[in-house]
Amino acid sequence: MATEVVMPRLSDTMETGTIAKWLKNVGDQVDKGETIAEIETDKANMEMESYASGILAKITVGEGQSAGVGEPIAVIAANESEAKTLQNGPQPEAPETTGKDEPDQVPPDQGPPSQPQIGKTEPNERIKASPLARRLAQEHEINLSDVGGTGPGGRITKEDVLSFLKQTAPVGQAAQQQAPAPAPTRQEAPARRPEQPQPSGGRGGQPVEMTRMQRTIARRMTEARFSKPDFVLTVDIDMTAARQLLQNIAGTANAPKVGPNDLLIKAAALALVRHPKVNAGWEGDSIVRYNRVNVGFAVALEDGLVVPVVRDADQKSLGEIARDAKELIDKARSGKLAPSDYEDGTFTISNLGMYGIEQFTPIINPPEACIMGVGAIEQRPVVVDGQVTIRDRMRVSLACDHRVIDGAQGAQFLRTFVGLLENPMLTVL
Amino acid sequence: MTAEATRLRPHTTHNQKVEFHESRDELHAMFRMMVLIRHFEDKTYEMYTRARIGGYCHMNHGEEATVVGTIGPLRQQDWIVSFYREHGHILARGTDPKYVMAELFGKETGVAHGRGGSMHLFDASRHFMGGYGIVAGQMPLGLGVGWSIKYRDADEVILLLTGDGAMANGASHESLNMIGLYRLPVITVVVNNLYGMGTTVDRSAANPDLWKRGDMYAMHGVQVDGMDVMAVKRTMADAMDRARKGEPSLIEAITYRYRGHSVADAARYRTREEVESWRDQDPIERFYRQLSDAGMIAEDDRKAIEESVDRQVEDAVEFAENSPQPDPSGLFDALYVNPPANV
Amino acid sequence: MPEITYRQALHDALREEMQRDDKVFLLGEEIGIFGGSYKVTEGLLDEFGSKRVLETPIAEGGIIGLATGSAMTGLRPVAEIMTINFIIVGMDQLVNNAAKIPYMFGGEARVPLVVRTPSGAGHQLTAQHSQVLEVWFAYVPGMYVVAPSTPADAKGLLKAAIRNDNPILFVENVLLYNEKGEVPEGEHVVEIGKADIKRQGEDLTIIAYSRMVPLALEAADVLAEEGLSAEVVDLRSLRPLDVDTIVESVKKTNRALVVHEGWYKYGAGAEVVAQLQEHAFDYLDHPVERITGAEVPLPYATTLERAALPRMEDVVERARFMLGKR
Repeated sequence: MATEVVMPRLSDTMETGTIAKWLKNVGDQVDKGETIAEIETDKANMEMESYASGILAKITVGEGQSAGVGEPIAVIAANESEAKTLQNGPQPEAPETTGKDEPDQVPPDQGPPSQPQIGKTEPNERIKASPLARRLAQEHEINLSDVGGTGPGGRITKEDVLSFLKQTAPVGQAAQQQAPAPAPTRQEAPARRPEQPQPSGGRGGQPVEMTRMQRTIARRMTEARFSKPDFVLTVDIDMTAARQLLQNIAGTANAPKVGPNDLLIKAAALALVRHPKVNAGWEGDSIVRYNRVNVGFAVALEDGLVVPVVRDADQKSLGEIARDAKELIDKARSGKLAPSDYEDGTFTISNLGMYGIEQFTPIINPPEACIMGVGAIEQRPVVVDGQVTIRDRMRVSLACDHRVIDGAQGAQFLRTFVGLLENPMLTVL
Repeated sequence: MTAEATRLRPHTTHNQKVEFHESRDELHAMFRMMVLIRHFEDKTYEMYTRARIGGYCHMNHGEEATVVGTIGPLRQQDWIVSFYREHGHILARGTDPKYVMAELFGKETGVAHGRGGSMHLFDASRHFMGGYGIVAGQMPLGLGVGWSIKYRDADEVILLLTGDGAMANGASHESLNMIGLYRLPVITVVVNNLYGMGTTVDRSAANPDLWKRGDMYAMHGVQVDGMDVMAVKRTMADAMDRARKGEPSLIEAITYRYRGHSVADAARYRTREEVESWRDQDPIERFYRQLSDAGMIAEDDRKAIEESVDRQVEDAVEFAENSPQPDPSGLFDALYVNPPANV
Repeated sequence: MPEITYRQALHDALREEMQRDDKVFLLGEEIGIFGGSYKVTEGLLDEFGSKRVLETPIAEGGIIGLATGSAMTGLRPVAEIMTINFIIVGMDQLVNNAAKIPYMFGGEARVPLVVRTPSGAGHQLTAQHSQVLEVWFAYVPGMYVVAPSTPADAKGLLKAAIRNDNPILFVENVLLYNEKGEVPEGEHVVEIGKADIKRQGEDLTIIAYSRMVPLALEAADVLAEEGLSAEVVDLRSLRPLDVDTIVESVKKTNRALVVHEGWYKYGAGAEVVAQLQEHAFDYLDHPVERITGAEVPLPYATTLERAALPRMEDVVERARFMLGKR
């Protein structure tokens, strides 16, 4: 019975070997244990010994040739006659070599992914969303509780936020042919109506592609205006002394540039310190008193408005407020405001005086409790000590959220504010 | 290098006539065990080159006299701590070759259930305490077993096997020092096969007469011809007596490994002539001659023994081949004893 | 309940276990006549004799190997390594032998071994005597790493460790030995693998072990005065690590701060952060942060040493930041 000789594994890392030299020729007697070849391995040249005795009948891998570990390289016949048969005839039936074990079964695939859980979460339950999804939601002003999560455990992922956005996308350029749709709300998909030209020529309206800022303003103003019980208090302030102070500052060498707005901010800040109940807001379902006095002021932009915030305005001098405000305005105009520049306001001033507006009711900037609308400084006739005289006057309207502030509180605040503006040296001390 | 290697000559000579006090049966059993080790290791080599055995594979060809001579005399209650060149050690202790081959094949039926392999054999019932891969790493464990015997005041000794290369390591010093200090019943046998991998003892030991370190550790130091199984056996019996009286021993057995350090070793650090000169002292042949000269064995006996051994080794291969591999679901078995769920 | 020191608690645990089971024995450097370099074993040599209180030469590999070999053959050794800095010398025996023997021999052997050693820094002991290395061993499957912070836990966990059949590294702390605490009398054994909430809180979870637990509790007191409520979780063991308890805590507070001695990168905190990130991802409002020692070999000068060790003020400040207060 012939024995197949295979390429031996001569090191733990060896995968193929090359026959460096056959030490026996076909037809030679071979003894068990005798070295019959030299094998070149990945590490060194090693000797290969025979595990059988007999006649070397066939060499199938010659010198200089390679074979993988376990592959046949020669045949040893039991005796001469078998050897002759093998040399001339077909390959002998290879004896049952110890075959390799069956490869381990690959564990079956996990079942199909579990069904996504879409639906509203309980209001008090923590919403599961990845940090990335949260950031995207915030950037797009999306409320996470409206988004369904398809991630593990119902987690909201980036994909979920993006697909939500697609579903609720506002009408854009592509919708030029459509009738203008109302500003998008979260709840409804925009109505899409086919083009219907008006018989009388219509208004010729074209939907404008709104910026994110415009959409935000639209939404928040709607929210603000119709969601709170607000009232307005108006006062008329004598700005003569204030104007004088500003002129003095302007005329002082090496003094910083201070404008009326800066004075308003400082006065408001000081008044808020004295009336902490006004330096407050409505968050969730309760009044929140703020420890810091961060006064925001509205800045008109080409396509909207922003409210940058002067933080800790009560602790800053007029000069410092002026510097901060200027920096913020510059950033606002060049679109470079960072969130920390417009977040965390506790009170807002909106000034339309430069446009000649005498008086107006601004819309509160939630979560703040009130907002001050400032009109133009004009010369008006007033009665002082029984005499009619001309003075620089300015009207200011304070719109308040009655959940947080009542009339008396608002009025007291205004009285302090007026006192500071009419005795402006107090803002410098 | 050859000259240095052959410089080391044992104190007992190999031509000494032996007086046998043992029975014929006992002597045949010793002879059979040496043949079993040799054939088993031949088969191990073959199975490795056939990729049935993987990883590292260190074999005992040529060391049979040292192995059988030191392990044979042990009693059932005695202990053995060994190192990675241990296939012959566990066989000499009486473990069935089936389970040893199965372990080499990485099967569930192996002595370590396929978790250990060639270097980590174990047989608790025979007090064969491993099987360790870090050179000299087993020495402090042998110290520990010796301490345990003394602590329990038991009539036991422990055979601590190590190599010439390991004697250079700090762990050997710490262990031998404490064994001597505490007078533990530890018999340390240095299987000096003249090479630590490819480095001769002369190049690893400032003083290569390793048995002389006995003095340093207050233990009985002796060198023996490790190719002479009877010389080793007598030396071991003496050491066991001493151990039971509280005197540890350091036995240096001079022997030789016919194969390289492991299967993958081309052994370029020694010449063919040197290997051949040691083959002339083949311990099995030598023992056969001694037995034959004393009329204790005949050619027929030898033939019968060899056939029986070959069958036993083939059976072992078949058993190993047909045994199942461990299931991956058992990957964490025996990692801890009674762990909490959160480990 | 009586109040005793951490040292006394350990001493009592050793003594009680040695009385209970005569297979328990101690070994280590200077644990006999000297009473132990931290005096934990004082008096035990007189009571139990030199066989059960074995004083060894300075040979950490020999000590741990002796213990391992004894443990494999029926005894229950408690080895003391004078400080964790020296465990490196004996690491081969602990990691390559003790931790692997049960597994690599297919369950045929057990190693019921305890290696006690103090870790930690302070008192200008300088670079080679001030390390915090237990995390290296927490990495190794096959062994446990236990680290009590109070006398009660020290006693309870040491008793549990001695009765446990696994190889256990029992990590004490050089600066905790004199700390006092209430310890229940009688059979007080603490389950290994369970963290302990040492202080309930709502706003932030501070996770710590060993000496950093009292430090975290101090920080929590300071924060409480500012209206900030910190929960302090004492891990008590690095392996097994009680992930469930820290996750439950973070589900409540949504913020976690890990405090440990030793170095920052690849320290024990890194594992806690990874576990929380994996298992409490949806409950985190802030990245999990770590306060640790500085990444330097510990220097000698007091100013430098102080700057290199975690301080209570650091924990308070970071906690404030994480809670949105400056």
